[in-house]
Amino acid sequence: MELNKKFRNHFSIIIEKLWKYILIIGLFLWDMISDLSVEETLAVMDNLIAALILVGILAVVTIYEILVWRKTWIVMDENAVVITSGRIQQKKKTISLANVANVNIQRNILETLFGTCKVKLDVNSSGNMASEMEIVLKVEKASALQAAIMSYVSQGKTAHVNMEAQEHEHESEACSKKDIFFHCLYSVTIWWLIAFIILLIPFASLFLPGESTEMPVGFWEILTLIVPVLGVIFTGIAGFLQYYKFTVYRVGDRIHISYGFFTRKIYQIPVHRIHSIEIVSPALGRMFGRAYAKMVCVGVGDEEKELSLLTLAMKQEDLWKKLKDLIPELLSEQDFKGAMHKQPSRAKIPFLVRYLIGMVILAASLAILYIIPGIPEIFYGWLFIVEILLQILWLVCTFLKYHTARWWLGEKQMIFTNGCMAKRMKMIPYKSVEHFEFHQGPLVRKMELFQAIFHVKGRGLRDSTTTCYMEETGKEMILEKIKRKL
Amino acid sequence: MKEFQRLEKGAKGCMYLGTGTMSILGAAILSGLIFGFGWWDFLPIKIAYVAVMGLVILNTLVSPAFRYERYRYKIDDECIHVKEGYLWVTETIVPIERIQNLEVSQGPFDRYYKVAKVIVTTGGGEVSLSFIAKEKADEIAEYLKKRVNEAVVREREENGTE
Repeated sequence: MELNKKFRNHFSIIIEKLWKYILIIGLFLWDMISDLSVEETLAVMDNLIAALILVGILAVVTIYEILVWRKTWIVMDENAVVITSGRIQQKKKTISLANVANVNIQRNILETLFGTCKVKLDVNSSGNMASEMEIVLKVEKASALQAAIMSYVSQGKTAHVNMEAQEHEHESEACSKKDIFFHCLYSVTIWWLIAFIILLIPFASLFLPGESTEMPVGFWEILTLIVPVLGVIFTGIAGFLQYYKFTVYRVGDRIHISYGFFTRKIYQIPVHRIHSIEIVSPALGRMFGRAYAKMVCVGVGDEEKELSLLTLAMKQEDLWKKLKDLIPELLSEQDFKGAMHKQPSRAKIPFLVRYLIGMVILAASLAILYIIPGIPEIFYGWLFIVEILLQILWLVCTFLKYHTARWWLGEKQMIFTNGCMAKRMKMIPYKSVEHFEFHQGPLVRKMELFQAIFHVKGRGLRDSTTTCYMEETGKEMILEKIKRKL
Repeated sequence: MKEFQRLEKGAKGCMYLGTGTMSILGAAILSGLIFGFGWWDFLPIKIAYVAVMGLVILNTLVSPAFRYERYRYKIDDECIHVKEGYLWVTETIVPIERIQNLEVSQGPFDRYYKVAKVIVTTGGGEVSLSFIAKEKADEIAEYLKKRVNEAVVREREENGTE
């Protein structure tokens, strides 16, 4: 890529910006035309004017987008990527190359058709200037830009490779459809499962023989029952397609990740940019000994539909093997297996206090429902059952939360586990800690315990981890270990 | 500044003024809601309103004194330490090398009591040293700026020799 040479985005960016308008106006016009009947011929002129106005609006938006495209220039110099746009109100966005952490490539279906892709710059410093920068280029040009920037970032230490070509080479390492299906299955939360079962009961009752079949069931009743179930199935399919061909491998000091059916995302993440690792065992996965790994890394996972997964759900031993292959710098499970510390036994007291407060609030909520006028007495029995179930659930959650919490302070990193139904294990290298807090409530302070909160660079540039209760002497240990890694 | 420092007397007045103003604003909004929507006639709301108002008054009278007594800060060779809180106490520690931005800010109450806030930003968020005498805040900011610059130069040298 030539330095200081201006270039434009690919023209497909205009179509990408306009297709939503075209679709909405097209549907509107179709609706207008299809509604016309012989009796309404007199209204044709009115409809025609409305249609012309809509087409006019579309034309204005199109011309505006073309002008924006024509006036938008991208240039890369020795120190920065600069995007200038607009003539009347000129805007200049500058991203210093010194701040660039990574350059990623994304492709949606439209871009695949045009042979283009989006170049996304991830920066280290605060603010979202980089995410506001829209760079859409032909794949070859995008690869060249990526190479030029990454060559600056790695000070020429890393040889550039075409991400697309490399992805093709590693196609055999992509997760199978079976792996993705089981990942989706194990990732289901208990709350989602409960909601699904509640939705399914009335739906299933329609097909069961008995009294209910004799009752006349109208179209709308069936539709009301089917729509949420279809919604759940649709969400499942969307999740499945999101992980389509999930591939992860390491080349040199970079982890390569790609996934997605409709929008294919390809990332190259330098290992030293991964600030912490999280091993997640969702409730269902925990029962079957499955877990998956996520990473906390600047620029990955900060957009709504962006995944920060390192692996899909798999058996614990396979997961550690995979992590060992990907990030040998990371501890293996053997290093801390059996060495994780429980909370001090007196930490049960703050948990008990929290449980009692929750219990009283739940009971008080029920009491309020009883005194609200207008609730028929027939529901009192149901309210009581719901109250009992919630109380049991609260007790189980509190117990599991206490039981799951563990900590370990190693030489290079610390590990904390927490969770209720699901279990999360966070591995944080001391050198990744940006700042930290020791937190003590009135009761906990009396008991000489504390909780720490560690802030690292992460999703949306920030990420924090709250630990379980630890002995007050742990403060000095943490402080000393972090200072040693400064 | 290697030992924990207390705040100066002016800080207490600033804390009282800030807490008092927020309490009056909160109480006005709550009262507006209760009386505006005619909820006052409902007994449980009446009891809750009186209880909340009692807590707000108690908090306004007691919390600034406690927070003032508890507030400590120190800057040693490697880190900034800030201890603060009322019922829940937090000790925040910021390694000086991690500081990305520095800012000294003064609100209207701060200007009246001649105090200021030193806000340091790291990759993990913002931390502030509040209610510091203005001259001292400027001194701290200057000292931290120097230290951060030294760290940047050292890092560049280390990278250059790699």
